[in-house]
Amino acid sequence: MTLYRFGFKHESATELAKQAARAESMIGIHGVSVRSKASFPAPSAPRSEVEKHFSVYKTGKDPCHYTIELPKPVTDDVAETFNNLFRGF
Amino acid sequence: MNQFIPCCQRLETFSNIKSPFSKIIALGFYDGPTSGMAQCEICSAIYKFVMLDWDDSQDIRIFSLSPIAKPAWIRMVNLLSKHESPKWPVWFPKWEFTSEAVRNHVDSEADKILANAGRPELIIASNRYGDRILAAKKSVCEDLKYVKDWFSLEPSDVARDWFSYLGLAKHGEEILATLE
Repeated sequence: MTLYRFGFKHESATELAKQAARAESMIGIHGVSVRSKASFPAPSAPRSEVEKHFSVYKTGKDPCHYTIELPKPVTDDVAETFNNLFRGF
Repeated sequence: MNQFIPCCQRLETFSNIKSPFSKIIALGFYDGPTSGMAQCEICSAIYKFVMLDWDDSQDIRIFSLSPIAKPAWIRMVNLLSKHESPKWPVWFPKWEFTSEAVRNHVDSEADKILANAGRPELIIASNRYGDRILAAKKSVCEDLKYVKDWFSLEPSDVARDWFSYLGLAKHGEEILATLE
């Protein structure tokens, strides 16, 4: 399975932490969204590669929506790993 | 920042204002709601909403709002509350069930409730979590052919520039700055 993370810009640790905190308050998972389907070009990574670094959970009604759990705090190293997986930088 | 809350019926009159949608059930989600149901705090009107577009950072999202009868809200809350407690203002049901059969039943019932929505009557731009409305416009019949869930769009689809439609710049850093 391929996971897509929309947006081509580098995501900072601060931005990722902000989204992860909101998700945690709602679904109890400190994480960010990805989808298993994208109609338009989007950065992507195989789920198997993502799971070498982070846990991935199926969340929500949308059959294509998944949440990647990020460690707390989201450090610059975590953000770098995340960006490397999806954007190669 | 202006904290006045307008009714959903008067949204067209304002820009960058506190959202009247104080309760949102996010059935679609991507770092914020992308589809679901919303309730107006002022008049209690209920809408089905679908995301039509977003900016490159997903901070500004364009939605169509279709009215749906008030009992539909109660039915949806009751349906989902059997499996997890509501969390307001934005409830993103985790959609975890005891069996595949239960999941299929809830999926089907939720879809039936949403199928009762009328035609889209309002196009709005909001911030990521829907607590600020940036712009709004009543939709007319000719808009309907362009109203399609962004996630179901195909590259071959003729898409409308919803940002221009609402008088917004898609890459408007100045809009984002006002949301901080």
